[in-house]
Amino acid sequence: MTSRTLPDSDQGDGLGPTLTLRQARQLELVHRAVTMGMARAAEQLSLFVGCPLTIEAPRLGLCPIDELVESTLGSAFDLVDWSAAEAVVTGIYVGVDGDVSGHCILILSPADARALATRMIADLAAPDLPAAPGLPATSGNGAGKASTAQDEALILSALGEVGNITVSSLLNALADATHLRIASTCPAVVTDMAGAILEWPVLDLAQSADQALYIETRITIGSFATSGSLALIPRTEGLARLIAALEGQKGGRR
Amino acid sequence: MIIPPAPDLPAANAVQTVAIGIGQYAVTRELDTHLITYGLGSCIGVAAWDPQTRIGGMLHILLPEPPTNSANPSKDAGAISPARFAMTGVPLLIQQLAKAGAATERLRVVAAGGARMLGVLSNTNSVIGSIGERNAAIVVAQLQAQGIRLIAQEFGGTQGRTLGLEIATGAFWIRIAGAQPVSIR
Repeated sequence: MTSRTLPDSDQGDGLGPTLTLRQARQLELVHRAVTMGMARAAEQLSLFVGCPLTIEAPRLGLCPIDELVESTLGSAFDLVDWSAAEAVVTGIYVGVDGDVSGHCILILSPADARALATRMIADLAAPDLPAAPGLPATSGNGAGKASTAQDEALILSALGEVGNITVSSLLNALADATHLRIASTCPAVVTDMAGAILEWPVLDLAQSADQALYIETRITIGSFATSGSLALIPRTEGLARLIAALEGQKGGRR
Repeated sequence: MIIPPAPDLPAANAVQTVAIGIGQYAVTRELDTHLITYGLGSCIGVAAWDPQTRIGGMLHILLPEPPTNSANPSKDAGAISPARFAMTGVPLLIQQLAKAGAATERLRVVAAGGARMLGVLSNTNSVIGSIGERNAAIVVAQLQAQGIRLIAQEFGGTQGRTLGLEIATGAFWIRIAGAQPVSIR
């Protein structure tokens, strides 16, 4: 018999931490604000890359810090296999600063990320771009050509801008709704295993917290076959400020 | 997110795959079990196997040691979630393997992980950026304290890794993103 131990908080009914009614209401407020923010992010990104896309946040809740990666990817809920954590993805990381500090990571399949970048810089550069490091080449004319550092930098820069636009729009929507100061930091682009990329915010939050807010998201881009996700992971104190501000807004409208 | 499984994963009906998430560990003597830690970044997976009893185990640690919780100093994260930390997780895995019947002196142990992910950020945020290295140092030190030497280790770098252990054969393997697994016997 395989004995597998889980953190204490996961034992029991497997439904995660028990919420009080007040916490459930608070999460509902956060969910509404995040859904609105994701819609704004989708709108801006869609304008930026020139193709229709949607960003949904079907599920949100609190989870033990150890399960943040699986909850964000959906494997904690058997929506995808646990091996999703080793699938190679392109992660565009943008730090979140200000009253609601934390982390935001836009996750796309490497092929989709490359297609988006190519679409964006088509007007600026020759159409047959070689593959960026870690990103597969498309079947266009550029496949197989030697990649230059300049081309790679251009693709990474374009992807950074995709992250910037998406995260800034989300954060601006949240800031507008709460009158809090929420800013984004410079983006960093990495192509690697999804779990290894999502570990970064976990490392940060685990220094001081046992629980975290997870938001399961789904980005559907026009004709692309795969979907991506947009992880927003606030630090504990940032989440508390966000909730307090949202409760204040709700109270003020009564 | 739709993510196709890696093509070289073992067939689902051939073995029972047990995924070990962050802060978890498993100990087993079931021969059809395959223990795996997927997508290790700065985290470290520790896999151990006793060739005589064919008892094996795996641990997935996140941080080197329990943080000093200034807001709530009475809270002992190391006691609540020992497998989250190298300092408490490694002794726990060895102890549970021994309890199941494995001999500590016979254990073959492999560890992987401890990378610096998100390179730019790792360099600018030295506290989080150096966690992988500190994780590796404490895993090795804790194993040494139990008189155990790693038969193979793959620490550092900037790439994610997956670590596997087949209980029936004691075959360990490590895979980096998009590559074929490398076997260790």
